[in-house]
Amino acid sequence: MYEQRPVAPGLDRPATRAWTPAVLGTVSVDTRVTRSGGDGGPGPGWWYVVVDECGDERCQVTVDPWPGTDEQGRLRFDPDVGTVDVTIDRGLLAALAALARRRQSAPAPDRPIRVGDVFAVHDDLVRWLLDDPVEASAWMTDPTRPPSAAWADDPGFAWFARAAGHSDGRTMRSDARDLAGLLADVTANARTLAHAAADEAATGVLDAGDLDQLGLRVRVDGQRLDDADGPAGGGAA
Amino acid sequence: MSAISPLPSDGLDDAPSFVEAVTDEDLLYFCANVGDADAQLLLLPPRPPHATRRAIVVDAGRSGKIEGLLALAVDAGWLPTTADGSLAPDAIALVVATHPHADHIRGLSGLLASHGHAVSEYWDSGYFHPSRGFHDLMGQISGLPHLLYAQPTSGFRRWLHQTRITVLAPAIHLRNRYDTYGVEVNSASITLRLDYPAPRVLQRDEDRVLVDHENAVSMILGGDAQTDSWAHVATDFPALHAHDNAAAEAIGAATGIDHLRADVLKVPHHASKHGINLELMERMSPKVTLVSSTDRSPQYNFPHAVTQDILREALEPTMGLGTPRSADHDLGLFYTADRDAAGRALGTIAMRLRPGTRDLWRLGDEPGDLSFDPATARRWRGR
Repeated sequence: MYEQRPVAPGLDRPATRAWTPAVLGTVSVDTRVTRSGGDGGPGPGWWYVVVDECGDERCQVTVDPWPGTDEQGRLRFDPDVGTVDVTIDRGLLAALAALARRRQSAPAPDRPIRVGDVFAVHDDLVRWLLDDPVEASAWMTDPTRPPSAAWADDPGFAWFARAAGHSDGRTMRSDARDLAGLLADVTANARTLAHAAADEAATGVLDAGDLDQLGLRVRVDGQRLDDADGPAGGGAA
Repeated sequence: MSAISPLPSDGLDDAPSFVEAVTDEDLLYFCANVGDADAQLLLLPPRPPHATRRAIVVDAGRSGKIEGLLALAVDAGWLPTTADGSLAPDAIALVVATHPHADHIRGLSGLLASHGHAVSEYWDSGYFHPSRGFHDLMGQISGLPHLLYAQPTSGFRRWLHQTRITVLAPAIHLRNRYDTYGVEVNSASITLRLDYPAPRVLQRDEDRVLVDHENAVSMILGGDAQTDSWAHVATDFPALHAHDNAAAEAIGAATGIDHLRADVLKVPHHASKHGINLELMERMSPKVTLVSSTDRSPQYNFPHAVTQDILREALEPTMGLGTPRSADHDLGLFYTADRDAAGRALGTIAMRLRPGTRDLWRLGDEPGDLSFDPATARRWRGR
């Protein structure tokens, strides 16, 4: 029987480490969470949030516990915890995205929310948003509006109020960068992994032996792979 | 707002058995009751060299509804099985993931986990999506080396049994823009046209003629395609109006073909206001129009009233006349969220389709039901 690809190895094995997207290296991730991750990456308490669909005023996001990666670098999710679908005000989501993108030291483009955007969101912020998304949205449009007593005690709100309250909508005071990291835009890294998953499903993966045998010259992040390691071999033109 | 009206009980027939009504000549189509989601199953008629039916799955919603329909098909003896009762290899000829939204693909990874050995071919639109559902699905495919994985674009054709499948969308123009992140994911949807039986050669003694069945069944399954997608479909599949002048006849345009005219339409995107427009609907001019949605979903308020009016106006033009409009069911417009006059869910829509025959059944399930009792099926006989 014709087979399109070699069977991918280790699909039954769990993740071996927390996924640490490169962009998080530019964000001051909450140190409590960094430690709980055990290896420098986000761990328990973080959620993988994907914008799945947007209507006129609302977006649907999928919320999963923060994934790991396996021995092959594939993104792996906890099979015992299902995805939760959450409907969220589009304006609120856009405001959160703008905050996340601005506070990254390598800022992501300030652009509208798109389906396929991915955020690392801390537990505190998720709980706060889910408790009362309508109120959260109203507060976003009027930051001078007094928060309820319950909100004022919420760590997610406290972070958000400080960040948004110091913002004029375009810039943010420098001390906002020192706030505990509760949100980061990891879209670019997440889309790369999704692209790789699709390509693996089509053709399997290359390994160093394939590069050598085929004489392939490849670039990773704009740099020739053999620049540091010497020629990949083969000598093909 | 126009809520979905209950179907009148005098149009529903409880007596006949759905399973017994099915003949080998019928193409069976199921539009599952999965709320604001899509899950569709086709069972191709057994034709030589295949002694049994084979299945096509188009999306699987968020849960195991398709597995329930496959179990129904196995119990009815419609699909080949192995000695242990599981689906035989090749029993599912094709699985199509129209686009990677959760309400279309989340159920597919479970389907491939339980029936992947029986699936021969898998298509998706090539639009990668960073959701967990997408990663889980790609992982399942990576574990099935026998599975032929393809990313078809407009114009691609495949023949399975006597059914011709034409990919209407996405246009290659759209697919080439995916990596720029410049295509709305709904407009990346695979949209399909099915013709049964496919045009073929008729042998008459020592002569053969090409025949195009006048009463062949045609269907369009619209995924969640929106305007950007349909605009390319309208360009790629033009309506060739009938002209009797010599030039038109010389180029074959005098036949008046419209590749978008269809007997059955699964309305795109749960009848979202962005899914279809009036002219497109007029071109399709379906005899049966199916909407997979809840009745006023809390998230998006599907089906949108403006789209319902478009569907109705195309099926029965009244706006220029100011005349009263018929009820949806009398126009052949049905919703998976339909209920009867007593408030009971009518559920999954099942259709028997063959030249000259087209009837519609309701399986009586709620969106959360994952198994079916064919004894509860009711036939819509109209009024």
